[in-house]
Amino acid sequence: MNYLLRGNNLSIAVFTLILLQSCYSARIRVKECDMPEPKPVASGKGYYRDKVCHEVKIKGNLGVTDGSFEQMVTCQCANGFYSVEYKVGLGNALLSGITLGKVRRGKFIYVCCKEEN
Amino acid sequence: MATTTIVNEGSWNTFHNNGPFPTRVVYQTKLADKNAMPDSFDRYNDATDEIRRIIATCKSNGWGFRGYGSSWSLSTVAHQKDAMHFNALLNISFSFLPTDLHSESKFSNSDLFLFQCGNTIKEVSHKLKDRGRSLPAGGASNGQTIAGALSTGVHGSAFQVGALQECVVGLHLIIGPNPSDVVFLERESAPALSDAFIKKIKARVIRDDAMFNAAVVGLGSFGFIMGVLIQAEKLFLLRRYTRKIKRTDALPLGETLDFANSGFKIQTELDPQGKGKTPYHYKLYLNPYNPSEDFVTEIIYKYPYTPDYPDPIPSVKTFIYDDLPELIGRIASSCNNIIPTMVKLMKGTIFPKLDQDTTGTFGEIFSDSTYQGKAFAWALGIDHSNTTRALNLFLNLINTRGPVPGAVGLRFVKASQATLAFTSFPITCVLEMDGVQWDAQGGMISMEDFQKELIKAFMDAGIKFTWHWGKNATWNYPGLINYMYGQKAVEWKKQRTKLLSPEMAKLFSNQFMDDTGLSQPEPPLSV
Repeated sequence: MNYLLRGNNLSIAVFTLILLQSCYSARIRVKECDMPEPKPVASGKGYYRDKVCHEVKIKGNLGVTDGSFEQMVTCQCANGFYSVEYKVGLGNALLSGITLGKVRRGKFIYVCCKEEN
Repeated sequence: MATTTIVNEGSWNTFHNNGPFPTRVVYQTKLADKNAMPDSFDRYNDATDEIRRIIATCKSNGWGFRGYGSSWSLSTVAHQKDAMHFNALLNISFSFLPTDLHSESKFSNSDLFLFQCGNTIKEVSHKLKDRGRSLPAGGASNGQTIAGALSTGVHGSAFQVGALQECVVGLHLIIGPNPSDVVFLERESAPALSDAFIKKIKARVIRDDAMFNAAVVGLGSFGFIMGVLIQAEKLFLLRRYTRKIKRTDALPLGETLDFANSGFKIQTELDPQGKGKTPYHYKLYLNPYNPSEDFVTEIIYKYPYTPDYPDPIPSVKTFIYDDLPELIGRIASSCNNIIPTMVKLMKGTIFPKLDQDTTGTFGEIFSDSTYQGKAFAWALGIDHSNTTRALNLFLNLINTRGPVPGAVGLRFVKASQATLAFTSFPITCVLEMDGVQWDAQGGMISMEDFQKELIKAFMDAGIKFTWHWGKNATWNYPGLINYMYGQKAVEWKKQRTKLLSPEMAKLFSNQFMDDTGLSQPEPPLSV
């Protein structure tokens, strides 16, 4: 019986881990910007491996009558955006769900346009 | 003034994650602020002075030094254990007036452009398009810098045009720390720029065909490439098709390039007699674990430019999970028997989508690549008349000593004038395999051992081959460079020895150059 429980716990842990790694994300890419700001030494995986990227954590707590919020940030892009991605982890998506959208957590990842010369 | 910062210490890696490799320091130089220094020539020359200062520092420290761009090469050709310089922010470009050209120049000023080393192929294409011009040919991707791409002989599959370096007609090199170490190298038989213009970029001119042909595919070792002078051509359109093609059509076509009399035809690309037109580009993809199944061909035809074509850039693009390539690599390592099944299942991702016809400019057709995980790539150049024989040998090895996680491609490129271009046959068939790196486990052959067996198999079969300088290989395999290049390698070293002082030749060398024996002076220095 114990090993069955352990097996079930492991399966649940693996399943939960997989789910928690599932993120909702969408990215817009600015067509007018040809080149991203390049990263000098490639690191990380995926889309940002060769790009300098900037993260902005989104943290919003809405009141009863609030429908939306905006967060002031300092943009690092002197030459415009190359891409902007909005990412919400499963945990934060669940948090928004159970608070009926009043607690919003997520992050923006943006890449600036390489300076033209 | 241009400003140089240290952006990394300790290690460097390629875009395709073939490292990490230890390096003492990575520099990055940013151009002077446009408001502080509005003249482009001033900013360009200022950057040249800055690179000279860095070289002086490396010289006094007894360090090696190497410039690099997008880190696209999978081999260690770009790596230097002491000091490396990230070039990508040096992206000025110039066009020319008729008075800037040499009096005997046969070039048109409107076709000539000087690109600073950090311009990527994509930036080059964009800037040329704004002037109604295009690169004549290039690679499959556009993320490499112009200096990096030509340094290893990036090629594509334009079998009547050649590799990227064929359009390069001048090189602006920094070969040491002194003002007199700034040179502009061009062919004596094809002078491009006037001495007056060359003086404007603070260079002394060298007109020497043999030296130019050696330096143009210089493996990053003929000094620091500050600028590349290219001869562009009028903007053109490419019509791209992807189709299934029978093996019995695909390989003879590769060996003969006789599209007029082939059984394979694209119905919209026939001449008035109903014969197949000769395309601009012919590439084949095949599953190495089921070579009897149809191949896939990417075949592209060239047309004059007209502005009214549908936008070829997809408005929505999807990306694989970040961890998926490594997961595949791990599965392949621990259970290599399922590699053929995996390749079959992933054909939709690995091969181009079938029957998707697109029209676009060169820059639009050969567009953005994304990181696909820890990758390996092999690319052998052979005479295209040997395509079938070489492919059969390659596939036999893959299936008997493998399987290994990758898919196979064939491209065809016209011979290059460059001394050490790997596209050295009259028409080179580039036999390539791209895949996911693996760790040898449970009896699976290691990548290093497979590469050695591949080299040995081709040598034993007497098939002359070359190997792409930017791809994975066992570069210190005994006799490899001599087998591939013979006297050409001697000539290349001779020109390098002529251009660089012994101290600078050492500074611009690296382990890759040592492994290949190309760092040795020619003639050898007397003891």
